[in-house]
Amino acid sequence: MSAALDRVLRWAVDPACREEIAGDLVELYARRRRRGGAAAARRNLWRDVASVCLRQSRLAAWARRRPIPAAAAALAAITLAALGLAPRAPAAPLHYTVNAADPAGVFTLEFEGTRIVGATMEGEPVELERLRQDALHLVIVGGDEGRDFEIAVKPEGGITWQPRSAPEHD
Amino acid sequence: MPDRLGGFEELVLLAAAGLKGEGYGVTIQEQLEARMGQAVSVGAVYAALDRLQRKGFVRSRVGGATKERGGRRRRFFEATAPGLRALRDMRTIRARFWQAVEAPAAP
Repeated sequence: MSAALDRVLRWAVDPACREEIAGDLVELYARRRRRGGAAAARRNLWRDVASVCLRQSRLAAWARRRPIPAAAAALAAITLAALGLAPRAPAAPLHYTVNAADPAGVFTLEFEGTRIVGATMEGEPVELERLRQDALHLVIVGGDEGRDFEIAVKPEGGITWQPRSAPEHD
Repeated sequence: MPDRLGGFEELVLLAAAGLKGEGYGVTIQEQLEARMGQAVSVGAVYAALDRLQRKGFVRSRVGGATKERGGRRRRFFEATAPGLRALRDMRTIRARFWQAVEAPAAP
């Protein structure tokens, strides 16, 4: 997915629903590209981005309301369309797994590019609903003895985090 | 007064209800385009889903990521019991109007 599309969405779409909307836009682009070719898919993609940006201020139920320059973002999307900039077809992202350990235990994180798609803690799968990611900031809800476990994702791959403390035993 | 369904909201809710909890932005938009026979903007679909969620007519959950989506997750929408009730109410209201439309004209 092109950096241009990511930039427009980062600017205009609330982080709480950005991932799902970006995913839908990428999936729609891929489907249309297969059906009708890249040019038509590209036009439709930027039309969709503009339509999302224009209505973004109304998306409040599953996102926090946030003042955004929606019209400006829509204009940016239209401009990108006019310039014929296409998102690259979603190339197969690099798939890798990070195995990590700290005093609290072991965990694994499975990535597609910089997006987390799965995790385990102490060998047990973590429910996807507990994995929250905004750009390069990842949170495993309740992953640190009930507290949120925060992890930074490196753009080039890999992670950094503040080691958790060993669990206390009676 | 209970929340009423707007015209487009009703169609989006019908699409979500027909997908039995497995509908998300892409599939709901495709259902709408296929059944309406015209292009539907995805932004309009999200806006309608947002209104429906605020009215309590749909609920959503986050599902798994796929490679086709670049590792991004989906948000699935499901019609709630009040949502299904609102759809049935709308069908009843429309049926009453159609009875009048199709009744023979008075001489």
